[in-house]
Amino acid sequence: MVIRSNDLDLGFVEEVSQISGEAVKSCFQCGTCTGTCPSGRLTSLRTRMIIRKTVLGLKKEVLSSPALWECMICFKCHEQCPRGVNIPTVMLALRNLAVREGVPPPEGYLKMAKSVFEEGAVQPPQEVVTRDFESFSRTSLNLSSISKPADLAKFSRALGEIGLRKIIGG
Amino acid sequence: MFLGCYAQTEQYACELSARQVLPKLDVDLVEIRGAACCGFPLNSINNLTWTYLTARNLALCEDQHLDMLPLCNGCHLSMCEVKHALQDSPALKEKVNGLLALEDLRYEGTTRVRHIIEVLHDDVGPERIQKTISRPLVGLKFAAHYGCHALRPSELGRADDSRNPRKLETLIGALGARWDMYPERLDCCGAGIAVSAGESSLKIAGAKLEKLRTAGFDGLVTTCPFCMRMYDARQEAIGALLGSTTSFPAFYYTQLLGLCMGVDRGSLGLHLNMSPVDEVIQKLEAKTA
Repeated sequence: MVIRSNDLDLGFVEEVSQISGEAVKSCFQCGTCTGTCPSGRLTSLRTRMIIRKTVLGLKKEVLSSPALWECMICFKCHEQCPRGVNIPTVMLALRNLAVREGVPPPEGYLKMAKSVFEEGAVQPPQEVVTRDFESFSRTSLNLSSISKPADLAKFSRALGEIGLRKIIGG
Repeated sequence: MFLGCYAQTEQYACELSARQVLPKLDVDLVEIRGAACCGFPLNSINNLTWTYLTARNLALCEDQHLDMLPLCNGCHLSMCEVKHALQDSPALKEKVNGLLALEDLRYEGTTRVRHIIEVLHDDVGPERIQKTISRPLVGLKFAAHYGCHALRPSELGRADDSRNPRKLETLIGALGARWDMYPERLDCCGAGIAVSAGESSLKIAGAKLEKLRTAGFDGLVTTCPFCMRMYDARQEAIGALLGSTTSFPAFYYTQLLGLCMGVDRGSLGLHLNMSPVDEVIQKLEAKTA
C-alpha cells in the first residue's frame, strides 16, 4: 500500500484521543488486540491495523472502513492490551466520528435509533412463536405493557436537541 | 428492576422467571416508571445520546430511591460506565441535566447499580438458595456463560473477576448441578455484530454451542437476555447457516432456579425457549417424581 502525504490528516489521532479519552498514540503495534479478537477470526476486522492507520492520520480510509462496525465491543483486547488502551472505546469514538462525517452506519443501527426516538425502545414488543408453534405476546403472557417515557414528545425533543433526528434523517 | 429492550420486547422468559424467583428470595422488584432504552446500541452512532438515555433511567430510579437492577449485561455496563463518566466530568453532567430538565428530571448519581449475579451470589448467597430449593438438579452438568459485559472492562467493577469468574458456577452448584470449566467460557456470544455482520455473529454463537455439546454438558446457563437471544432464539438460524443439527439446551439461571423451587414450567417461560430444553426438564422431573 502506498501512502501519499496528502491523504494524511495529522490531527486525526489527536481528535480520536480527545473524543475517546484514550492514549491511542501509545500503541506499539504488538498485535495482541488482533490476536485476541473473536470477531477478526471471521470478519475483516484487523484491530491493530485500524489503530495504526488512525495514528498515521488515514482519516478517510479508517472512517469509511466497514471493519469499524465489525467490533463486538467485547473488551477482550482491552483486557490484554499491554499499553492499557481501551480499544473498544476507541472503536466507538471512530464510529461516532464516521457518522458525524456523513458515513452511513449499518442499517440496523438507524432502525434501532429511529425506534428509540419514536417509542423509547429499540423495537416494538414482538409476537413470539414457540418450539411448539404457539404464538405469544406480552398480553397473552399476562405481562404489563412495556415501559415508556410518560411524555414521548418531550423525550424526543431532548433526543432531537442532541442531534439524533438529523442522524436518522427525520 | 430495569428490563431493557430485549427482555421487554422479545425475551419474555427473562422477565417471567425473574418475577417468579427473586421475590421468593426477598428481592422486591419494582419497575422503573417511564424508563426507555439504556442507549447501549446507540453509543455506536452518538455518544451523547447514550449518555443521556442511561442518565435518564438512573434519574428515574433516583426519584424512587431504589437500587437499580438491570437484567441485561449491556444495560448494566451502560449504567456503570455512564455513572463513572458523569462523576468524572461535571461539565458533561450539567449538559445531561440540561436535557433532562425538559422532563423535569435531574441526575445526581446516587443510585447503586447491581448485577443480577451479584444480587443472587453476594446479597442472597448460595447457602440461602440451597435452602430454598426442593428439587435439586442432581446428575446434570451445566456450562456457565457470563457474557462479556458482566466481566469486562474489569476496571469499572463488574459482576465478577474478569479472568477467573466463579460466581455463576457457584450459583449453578447451589442448585445441586455439576458445572465445569471449558476453554470458550469467557468468549463473546456474538450479539455485538448481529446488525452489522449477521452471519459471523451466528457462527460465533454456534461455535460455542457445538463445543459445549461435544464436551458433554447438559445445557448452557446465562442471565443476559442479549446473549440468550443468540444462544436460544437464534439456534435454528445457526443450524441452518452452519448446515449442522446443533441443538443444545440454553436456560436463564432464573428458569433453572425456579424449576428447583418447584415453580411450574409455564410461569418460568420455559415454553418460550427455542432450544430443546424438554429433555433436561424431564430428567429433573423423573428424578423427583
